[in-house]
Formats: sequence, structure tokens, C-alpha cells
Amino acid sequence: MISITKPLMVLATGNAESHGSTALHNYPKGEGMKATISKKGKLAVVATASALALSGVLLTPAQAADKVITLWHIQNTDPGPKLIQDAVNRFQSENPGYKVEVSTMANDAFKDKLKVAMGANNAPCIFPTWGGGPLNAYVKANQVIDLTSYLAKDNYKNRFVPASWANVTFNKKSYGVPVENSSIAVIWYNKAIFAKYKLKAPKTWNQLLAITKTLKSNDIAAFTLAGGSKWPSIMWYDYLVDRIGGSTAFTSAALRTGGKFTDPTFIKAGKMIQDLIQAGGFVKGYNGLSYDNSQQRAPLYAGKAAMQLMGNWEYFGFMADKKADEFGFFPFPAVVGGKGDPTSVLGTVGDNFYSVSTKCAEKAAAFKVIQYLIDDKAVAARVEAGRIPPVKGVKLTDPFAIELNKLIENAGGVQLWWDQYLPPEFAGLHLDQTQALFGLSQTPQGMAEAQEALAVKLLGASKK
Amino acid sequence: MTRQMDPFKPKLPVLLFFLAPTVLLLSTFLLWPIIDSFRLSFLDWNGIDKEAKNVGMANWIELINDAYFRIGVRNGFILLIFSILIQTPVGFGIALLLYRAGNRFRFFKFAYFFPFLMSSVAVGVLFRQIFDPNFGLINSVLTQINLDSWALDWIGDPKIAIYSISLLVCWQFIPFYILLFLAALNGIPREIEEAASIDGARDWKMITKIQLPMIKGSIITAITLMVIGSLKYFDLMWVMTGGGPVYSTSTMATYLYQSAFKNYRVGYGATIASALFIIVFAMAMIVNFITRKSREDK
Repeated sequence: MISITKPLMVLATGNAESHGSTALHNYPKGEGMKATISKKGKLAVVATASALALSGVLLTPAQAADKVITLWHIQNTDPGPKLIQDAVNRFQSENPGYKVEVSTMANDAFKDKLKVAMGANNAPCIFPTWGGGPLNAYVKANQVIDLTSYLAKDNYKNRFVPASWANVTFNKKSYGVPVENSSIAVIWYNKAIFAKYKLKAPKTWNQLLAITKTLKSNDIAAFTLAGGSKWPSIMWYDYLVDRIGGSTAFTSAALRTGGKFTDPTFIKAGKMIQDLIQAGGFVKGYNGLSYDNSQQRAPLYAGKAAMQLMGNWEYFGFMADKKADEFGFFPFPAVVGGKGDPTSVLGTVGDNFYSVSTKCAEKAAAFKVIQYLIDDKAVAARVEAGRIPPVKGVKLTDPFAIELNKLIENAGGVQLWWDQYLPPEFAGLHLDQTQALFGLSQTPQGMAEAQEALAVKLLGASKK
Repeated sequence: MTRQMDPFKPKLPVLLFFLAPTVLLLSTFLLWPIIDSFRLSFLDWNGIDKEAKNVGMANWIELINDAYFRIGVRNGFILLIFSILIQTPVGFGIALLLYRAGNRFRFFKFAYFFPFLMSSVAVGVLFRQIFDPNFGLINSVLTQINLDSWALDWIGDPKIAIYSISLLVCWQFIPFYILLFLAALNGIPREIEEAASIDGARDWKMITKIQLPMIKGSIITAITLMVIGSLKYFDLMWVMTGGGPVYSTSTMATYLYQSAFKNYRVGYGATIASALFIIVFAMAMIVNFITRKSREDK
């Protein structure tokens, strides 16, 4: 009995810093006893160990009992971090015993880090994607859990806009929850420049070329472009393919159901881009500007460029720079004679979809955290921030968001960004080839052939 | 010679005991990854799947025929030539000035060292703005003094981007070589310089006959470091252009990263890593061989 109480005494009467490690330092006292009372020695060791374990619970009850859920996200511009943290706090206060560890990351760094973490079997519990190719790669590698049954419960899935599920559903199983926003690419224009030269939002590509000419003769580039970052450039190609060949031109090539990346639609899209470039449509140095430090916005602010094809999130950039009033937007113009529906848009309804990894120990709780991310309070906060949450019957207040939402609601279709829709290796090639096309170092034909060659290699020949 | 027991010569078990931690650390974090990347180079693996496909030599054959990899090799050598031709003379020149100035210009020692203290990412982001074709510092100055035709698209034009960044890399690393050469110059025994000056050696002769030969070892070290550093260079290329536009500034290391982590081809990335290792190793051996020969000739 003595041997049991003594180590406990150490714990109870130890100094102010008395936690596990202090007790460990005092452990030799028990060892000393072992020499004299050898039979009870082992008991002493066991007792010390259990006392240590116990002290861990008693001295820091909250930490030891909490089940940890890791959450990575990329909502890194205001009020993004607060939106996430508020939801997490709500979850934690209503679900004691859980601790959500939130890490906020930068977009591109996050994509790389997540991939490495997945490969190392070290994925976070909850993480966002844009659905499409990369998420599908994780699904195939059995790194993401199927959320279908969670979504079916209480008809939770019905809360969201139906269009939002397409990008996270593979083989009729859903792997992500749409949360953040609805993002589509539109053309932003400088209102003052348009007023000065009496320009109107173009309805067709030819009108756009005419505007380009007018601006050019006044020493203004029609467009700015963060070509160094590559992904802003593909919006041009992807939109044009849709306008020329209709929504199936791309999907039938990507899904290998008869279409090819060498079809005339793709080559024509490339030609039209290069025509626009040769007409002086882009600001000087467009192929080296980086989106990461908003380099492409400077020509817009300085009046050296009049427009930019970019996602609606650019609005938040304009707001941060206190320039939101100076810019308006219009949808990507139609191509005369094209098969595409001029109302369809390129982008995503949901923007960031949150998934749960198979490595997660608390899968049900993790799903609950996601539900808090897009509960009624979160929806209200996102609306207030000028976003368009992908839930049904949302009451928008921001005039910009209302105008944009009309475009989305009336859209004939929503095509996900190709670099997110395609398998990663193909996306890499598409980005590189488009940058080369914009740099005039690749021909439309050459680009089409390179893309088709890789499509055959990765996805097989296209069959009807 | 009779065998004597050296009282300070450690016994084998003692030797092993003290070496073990280092050997263990080095083999875990250096040797094993190198061997493992060679193993990975024969696989087709996306980095996330639990299983990888063995493809034999396919990755290596692709690498040999890969034009982008060749651009990476070429850019490594462009950077190497820039480094040797710019960093060595400029580094030596400034080191010599600082050496002659002694303690009077101590401030400059710190000032010149400054670029090397900045993180590469900070340098990259900063110079992305300075190189901006419309609003950057360089082009603003050039247009102010009516040299509009010189105001190029420094990192957006694939023809010149690699040279712009190579110059920037030189700017960043010259301070390191100043320090290296300055330390070497300070290491020359004063008596030799004094004797030479009594014999009538003045400025140019002093440099070419005394100082340069005396710090030859440091110059060889510098060139070896440049060979290794240039060929496996990554930082500024990645931060400023991501290897673009259209791979024009891609190095072997940025292409490795692009393949393994952007395009999800970890197997092919490992092939590039292995090839990079072989090339750097071979180049370092060649430098070693040449310099050894010149040392023996003396």
C-alpha cells in the first residue's frame, strides 16, 4: 500500500508545474523502493504508470478527452477565415468533446500540400476541392469517403441547388458538400472607359472585336490577363469551345464518347484567341503577369486595359482595393453561327466542396462540422459578404450578387473549369498548351494535336 | 616501423557508437531517399494510389525524348555560365575592394551581404513587380529616359525571361562569394604580400601573381558550388514564373516539381530527380577531375 500511495503523493504534492513530466522525474523514488521491497516493486511501477495516465486526465481534462478533427481550407481573404471559424466555434460549443483544428492555406500551396498528405496517408479530416478530376483521383485511391448516406439522412441533400452536385458525384455517389459560393467567369469592364468611348457590352464576338479596335486606336488594350498564372487563360479557350461547339463539344471529347480534341471546334477556338491577340486585344506582357499578386489588375486601374475575363470573385478584389464601383460585368459573348447556348456559363455552383477523408477517425462528426459550415447562420453570413451560397431559396441582398445570380439561374448549363474537370496530368497539359497558344509559340492545330494525343494515352480512343 | 598502441586511437565499438547517430540520420534522410527515388523512377505512380504500376524503363525512355527536360538541362547550363562569368569576377572584385579598404568601409560588408539574407520567395515576389512590363521600376525608368524600345517584357517574353532571372540569381548569390573570397584573401599571410610588394609587385601584378593564385582553392570551391547550385536551381524560377511562359524558364528541378506534384506523376518526377542527381554528380566529378589535374600540374 505504501508503494502505491507514495508515487501518488508525488503527483499530489508536487510543485506547481506538476504534470506528467514532473512525475516522471520523480519516478526514481519508486525505483529505489523496488530494491528494498522487490515483490511490490513491480506494483509500484504499474501504479506509477497508471497514476501518470490518470493525472493526464485529471490535470488537463479538456485536452485529453477532446477528439480532434482537422480542417484545411483556403478561404484566406476576409471575411473567409471568420466564416469558417465562426461555424467551427458553433460546432464546438454545441458538440462538447470535439476540437476542430483549422488551418487556413493559400490556394496553390494547399493543392500541393493536400496531395502530398494524401500520398503519405496523412490527410486532414475535412478538406475542400472543386470536385471534378482531382477529387475523382482521390476517390479512386480510396482516400475520400462516400457521403451519399449522410446526405440522404433527413433529406439533407435537398437543401442545395441541384446543379451543385454534378461535380462531386461519381458513379451516382456523392463525395463532397457544396459550401462556399457560386463562381462563374464573366467579363469585367471599366465603366468610365466604356462611357468615354460610348461602348456597349458586346453581345457577339464580332462586337467584341470591334470594341477591341476602337480601344486599340485610343491606345488602350481591350483586355488584361494574368497569363503567367495560366488558369486565367484557359477561361478564354474553354468559353470559346462552348460557344462554338456547344456544351457537348468538350464533354464528348473529355469523356471519350465520340468527340476529339482535334475537332474543328477546338481549332477554331484557338484561332479566334490568336486573332484577338493579333488585333492587340491584350495588355503588354500579359503572358507573364501573375494573379498571385494581382499584377493583372494594375493595368485596369491605370486605364491601360478596359476589360478582364475573370471569375466573379474578382469583385472581392475590387472591393478590397476600393474600386468596386468602377467596374461592371457582362456575360461572355456569343459566337455568330456557333452551336453553343450563349446563356451557359463556365464556373462552379458550390465553388469549394468539402469532403471527409477515409483517414478521419471521427467521420460522422466531421460531416457534422461540414453541416455547420453551411448552416442557416453560415448562409446568412455568406450572403452578407456578397456571396451566393449554393442553397435553395437564398435571399440575396448585395446588388452585385443579385445581378450575378440572375446569370446563374438563367444559365443553360454550367461547365466546370476544365483544369478542375480533367484528370490532373491532362489539366497540366491544357494549362501549358493554352499559355503557349497565348504566347503565339503554339498553333491552334498543334495544341489540338498535343491534347488529343494525351487524351488517347490517358483516357483511350474516343468511341461513339 | 613498429606497431605502437596509440592511446588516442578509439576502439572499433567506440567508433561505431559515436558514428552511428550521424550515419543513421544521413542514411535515413539522404541516402535512402536517393535510392528510393531510383526505385520510384521505374514506376507509374500518381502519388496517392496505394498501388503503383511497374513500367520498367518507360519513364527513362520518355525522359530522353522529353523536350521539356532538355530545356531544363539547357537552362541549368545557362544559369551555370552566367554564374561563373558574372558571380566569380564580380564577387572577387568586390571582395578585393573590401579587402583593400580594410575596416574603413565595414558598412559595405553588411550592405553588400543584404541580398543574400532575403528569402528567395521575397526576392521573387519583389522582382515580379520590379520586372512588371507596364508599371515596374525598370521599365518606368527606361521610359522616363526615352529608352522605350529597351523596356522589354522581362519575364513574360519566353526569349529573354531565362536571362532576366539568371541575372537576378547572380545578384542574389554574389554576396555569398564576396564573403568566401574575402575570407580567403584575409587568410593570405601578410609576409607574402609584403615580400611581393618589396619585390615591386603593384596592383595588377599583386592580384594576378599573388592574390589570385593564393585563393585558388576558394575559387575552385566557388565553381563547384556554382555547378551544383545552378543545375539543381529551383527557387526564383518557381516563384516568379512557375517555369513559364511555356517552360522557357523551367529548370530540371521545377520540371520535377511540375511533374510530380502538379501533374500527379510521381514516378516520372522521380525519374527526373534521379537524372538530376546523375547529371549534378557527374558534373561535380568533372570539375573535381579538372581542378585536380591543374593542381598536379603545378
